[in-house]
Amino acid sequence: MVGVVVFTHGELSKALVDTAAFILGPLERTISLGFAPSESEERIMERLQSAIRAVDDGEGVLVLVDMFGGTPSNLSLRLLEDRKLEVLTGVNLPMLLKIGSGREQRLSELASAVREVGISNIRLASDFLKGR
Amino acid sequence: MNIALTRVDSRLVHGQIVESWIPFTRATTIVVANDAVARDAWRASIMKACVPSEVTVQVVRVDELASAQKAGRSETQSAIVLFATIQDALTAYESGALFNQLNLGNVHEHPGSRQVSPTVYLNDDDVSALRRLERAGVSIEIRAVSRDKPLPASSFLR
Repeated sequence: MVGVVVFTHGELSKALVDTAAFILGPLERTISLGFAPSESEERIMERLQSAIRAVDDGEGVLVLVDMFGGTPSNLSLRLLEDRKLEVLTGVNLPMLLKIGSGREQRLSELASAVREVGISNIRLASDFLKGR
Repeated sequence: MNIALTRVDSRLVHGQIVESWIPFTRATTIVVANDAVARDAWRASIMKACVPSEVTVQVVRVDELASAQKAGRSETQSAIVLFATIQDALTAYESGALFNQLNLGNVHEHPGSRQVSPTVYLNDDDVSALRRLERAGVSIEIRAVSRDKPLPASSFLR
C-alpha cells in the first residue's frame, strides 16, 4: 500500500489527519508532520525522512503538503530524485478523505486521482446556485 | 539593481518570502546568494518554480554577488537578496556587495548559538559579524514577516 505523509506548516497536518480520522476512522499508513518556525531545516528534513521510511512498504510514498513554495514543499521536492515519491501541494480535507476511502492504486495513479478530488472540491457556492 | 530587502534566512526562498516579502516590497527579482544552491541545479530550479511568474530568481555564489549587482539589468528592477547565514552576508559585503540594511528572518539553531528572538539564534561569530556590518553602516533588524514589528540591533547586539 502506498504510504502517505501529510506535511505542513504548524499543526495543520495533524488537524487534517485527525479530522479525516474523525469522519472515516483511522487512516492506514498515514503520518502527519508539522514543524515550528524556529526549527532548523536539517532537523525538519531528518524528521521528514524518518516519516517517509515509517510509512513506505516498498510501494512508494505520497507526500501531501500545504503550499507550493513553502518549506514542506521545498524539502519534499529535494527528495524526489532519490526516492519513489510523489509530492502533491495544496492539501485539503476532501483529498484526505479520498485517500482514506481506498488506496488500491499505484503511486502515480493515486497521486493523480487525489489531485483531481482536491481540485474538484473547490467550489464557489454562488456559481452553483446560478446554474440552477 | 535596486535593493528592496537584504535578508538572512536559513530557508532561503519559502512561504514567508513568497507570501509576505514579495508582495510587501513589490520585488521583481530574488537573488539567492548561496554556494550550495549554486552547485545544485535541482534546488535552484525548485526555487525558480515557486515564486510568482512575474518574479525572476537568480542564483549566485556568495562571492559572485557583488559582480551580479553591478551587472543588474536596470534601476527599475527591485530585488530581494537572500543569504542562508550571517557569515555569508559578511563575506558578500566584504567582497564588495552593496547593502545598507540587513534583515534577520530565520537564523536557526547552529553550534554555539543562543536564542535572541523566536526564529533567530546567534553565536559569538554571528554577533561579531553583525557588529562589523553595523560599524560599516549597515542597519540591522530582526523581522520574520513584513507585518512584524522590527526588533532593532540595539536590543540584541549587546
